[in-house]
Order: sequence, then structure tokens, then C-alpha cells
Amino acid sequence: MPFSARKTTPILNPPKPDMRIIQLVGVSKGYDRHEVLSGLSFQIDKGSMIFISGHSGAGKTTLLKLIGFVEAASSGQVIINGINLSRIKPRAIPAFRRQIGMVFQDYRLLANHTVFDNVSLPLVIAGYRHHEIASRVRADLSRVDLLNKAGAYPVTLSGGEQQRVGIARAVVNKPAILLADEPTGNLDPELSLEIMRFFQEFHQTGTTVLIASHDHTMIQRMDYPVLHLHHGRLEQAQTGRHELKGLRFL
Amino acid sequence: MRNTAGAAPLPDPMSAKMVLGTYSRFHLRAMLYSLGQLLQNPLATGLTVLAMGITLALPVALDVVVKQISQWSTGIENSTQMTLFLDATTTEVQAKQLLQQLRRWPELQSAAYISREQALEEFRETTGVDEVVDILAENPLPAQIRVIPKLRLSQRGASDALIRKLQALPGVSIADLDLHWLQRLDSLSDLSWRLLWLLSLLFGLGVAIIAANSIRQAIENQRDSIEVSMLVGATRSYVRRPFLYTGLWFGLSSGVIAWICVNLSLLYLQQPAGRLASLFNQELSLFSYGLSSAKVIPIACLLGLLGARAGVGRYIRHLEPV
Repeated sequence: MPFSARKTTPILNPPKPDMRIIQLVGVSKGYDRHEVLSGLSFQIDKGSMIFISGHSGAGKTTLLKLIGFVEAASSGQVIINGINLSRIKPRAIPAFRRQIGMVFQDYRLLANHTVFDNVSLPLVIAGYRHHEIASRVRADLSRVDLLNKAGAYPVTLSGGEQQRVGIARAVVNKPAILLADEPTGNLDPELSLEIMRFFQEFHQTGTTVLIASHDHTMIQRMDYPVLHLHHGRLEQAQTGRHELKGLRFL
Repeated sequence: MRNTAGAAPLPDPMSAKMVLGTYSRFHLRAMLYSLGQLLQNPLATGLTVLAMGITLALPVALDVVVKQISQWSTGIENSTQMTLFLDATTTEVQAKQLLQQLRRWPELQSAAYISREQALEEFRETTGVDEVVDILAENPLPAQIRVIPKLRLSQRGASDALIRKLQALPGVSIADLDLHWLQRLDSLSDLSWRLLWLLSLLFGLGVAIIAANSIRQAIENQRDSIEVSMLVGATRSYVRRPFLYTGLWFGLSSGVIAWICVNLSLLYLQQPAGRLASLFNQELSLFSYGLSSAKVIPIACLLGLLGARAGVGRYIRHLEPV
């Protein structure tokens, strides 16, 4: 045989490591026969930053609640970081929630706790020692420019400052996923941009970020993939560009 | 994922190596946090503790009284004797033979012979009617044998059988024992024990319910904190723990209050109770019972804990997001 056929076969389509961190398959959610979300199917890769847009009542907050397991889906499967939430055991739920950081539109800070205590709450719950908590909290407060307000109470802070405290609390435990529900809903445009800058910084550390917002101007300016909801259903938009940025419709 | 600037990765507090230290910290934090919360509302806390303490004081005081009654009852029974009045025709030799016979009976603890002359002398001393005795032509009193039985005289069937057996002895005219008052005392003792158990159960339940209600109020006041804690990953145990310690603090402080109330009450009652006891030829030390009633403190701690557990359990599940 003049030329020995090499038996080596090049691998044309090598298996990719599983990059999916969020996967919804046929997910619906209803309250008292009223369907808020219907037939959602998409997946999001690790390290992505995705916006969820839609009119008021479209189901943005509900979608975030399903992903954060604040509520359970009525049907379908929600798989977060390899965990199928329809099969998760009750004892495993707290550990799951520690992988998720949540930023709320109404901040949900504890009024009788200082800024430091509010931010340190996830670390206290996780069982870290005091000196470990102190170093991490100071670092995160420094990142959101609130180190000088560590001893203040939320009632003495402005809306923007309270939201920054909420963000610091959401990221202090290094979550795999950061969910933000209308984080700039109560803020002016300048502050909104500042808040978005923080989210971009956390995204750059590898955190998967999902932001629900009805501010179309800001969403367009940010140029990230968008999940657009209309009366509880997904409107599939530009897929090509989104797939490159970690969002796939199923 | 890159680390944030200036923050090194933290060791996992739930790793096998560190879990003991982590749970110790959880418990210490919960204990101190709950104590701090109680001290922040001294009036509400004080009223709750007083209510629980006074509720507990009653069964504890009753316990002391019942124990004293039981002790009296036993003491009186042990010293109560039966008197066998002998026939006038029974000679002293026959009486002493009967005495020896009775001393061999297993039902009897002791037996003693009282001659007619001794009986008259006792009568003179106890009644003080020397002039009447002196003018009597002859001694009307019979010889007696006094026996102390081993069985509990308040057991009606057994005591009646013994009296009949003694009555049937040759030479015995009358076998005498007044059991009625002794049986009344014993019945009172039995009733008191049952009453004690019943009241202890009811008041203990009341204390637990007070604790449970106070805990539910505390949970309601901290509802926001609990909901946020659960959203950021707190387990049910983590949320429950401070409230269980609150129940424990309630129990401990109310137990001490109850113990102090009981001892102060016993101190106040010591003198008149001692006089009453002496009328029955008994000794009394209420205060020594008071010291032993310190067992109310661990019991109160347990009740506080149980009440807190009952108050926390379902309510926490109700607050869970999912």
C-alpha cells in the first residue's frame, strides 16, 4: 500500500462542555386559572448577560421568580446549573438559593439592620466567620462606593444608595447567577446607568446576569441579548447575534 | 469565574473539617441574638416571664404541700397503735402469755403490756382528776396490751381483718382503733397527689402556650427579615434557631421567678405551718422543700422550648417562598 491510510479521523464536531446554566423547557405559570407565562423554552449559557423586556404585566418578574425558585412553575422544566427545580428536594433548596443573587425593585433591605449587616446577611447565613465576613463585605461595599456608609441604616440612604446596597448583598456570596428585577425602576437615568455599570462589572467576573426591565432605551443602549415577553409568551428576536452571546431559543 | 478584586476565595464553612465550628457559631449567634431581642423590649419580656413564672409557681407550691401531707400521713400511721382491753378475769400471767404470743405475730411491729395500776396512773396524769381517782373504791380500768401494726392502717380491709383477729383472742375484751380520721387524711393525700398532677399538666400546658404565642408574635414582628433570609439561602433550622433560644430564655427566667415566688411564700408560711405540725406531734421544714423545688427551672426551660417549637414550626413553613 503506497500510502498507508491513516486511521486517525479528525474530530470535526468535538463535544462542547455544557455551557448551559439556565434552561427552561415548556414552562408555564398560572395563578387562579390566569396564565401569566406560557410555553417558555430557552437556554442561557454561563457567563451571559441577558435582558428580559416586556410591557407591564408581561411576566418578567414571574420569570425571574421561577428561575430563582421563589415560585414553582405550573408545568414544564426549569433547570438551573444542572438542578431540575421540579425535582429538587426541600432540604436542598436553601443551598440552591445561595447560588442565586437577587436584586429587587423595592430593594428589600432590613430596616433595623445597618448597611454592613444587610450586605453580610448571605455570608452570616452561610456560616462564615466574622473576620471573613468583614473583609468580603468591605470589599463589596467599596466596589459599590458605599464603604463610608457601612454603619448607616437604610432609611438614611437615597434610592440609588439603597439599590447599591441591594446589589452588594446579592453579589457578596459570589453567586453563579444574578437576577435583577427592575433594578433601575425607581431611579433617574444617570443613576440607572451607574447601576448598569455595576452589573456589567459583575458580568465581567463571569457571573451570569439576568435583568428584567421595561426601559427599552437603556436596553438598546446596552446591546445585550434580550428575551422579549408579550403577554406571557416569548417573542423570538434576532437569534444569530444572541446565540453568540449565550441565549438560545428552543 | 474570576475573583473579585481584593477578596480571596473563602473556605467552605460547611466542609467536613469546619462544620462543627460553623454550627457552634450558628448557635452562639442565635443565643445572643435572641437574648438581645428580648432585652430590647424589657416591658413585654418582663410581663411574659412574670405570667409564666406565676403560672408555674402554683403547681410547685402545691407539690410542696402535698409532699408534706404525705409525710405527715406516713408518720402518723407509723406511730398509731391499737389498744386491746383485756377481760377482768384475765390474770397477769395469762396477759403476759398473750403478750408473748402477740410479739410473734408478723403483722405486728411491737406489743406492750400495761397493767391496771399503770393504766390508772396514766389516766390520772392525762386527765388530772386526782381527787376523783382517789375516792374510787377500786380500779375500774382493765389491763391493756398496746400493739403497733406494720400494715398501713388506712387500708381499710387489712386493718378491719386485724382488728377482728385481735378481738377473737381469748382474754381480749375490746380491740380499739379509731381509723376514720386516719383514713380521711390518707384519702386527702391521694386526692392531693391527683390534683397536683392534673394542675401541673394544665398549668404546664398554659406555660407552653404562653411561650408559643409570644414566639408567634416575635416571628410576625420579624417577618420581613425572615422572608429575606430565606430568599438568600437560610434553612428552616437557621430561621427557627433564635426563636427556640427565645423559648429557652423565657423558660429559664420564668422558672427562676417561680422558684423565688414559692420560696418567699414558704418563708411566709413556715411559722403557722410549724405550729400546726406540732399539734400532730410532727416536725415541719417547708423551706427545705423549697430548695428542692429548684427542679422547676429545668422543667420550665423544657416547657419554654416545647412552646417555642410549637409556635415556630408551622408558621415558618408558611413564610417560605416555595
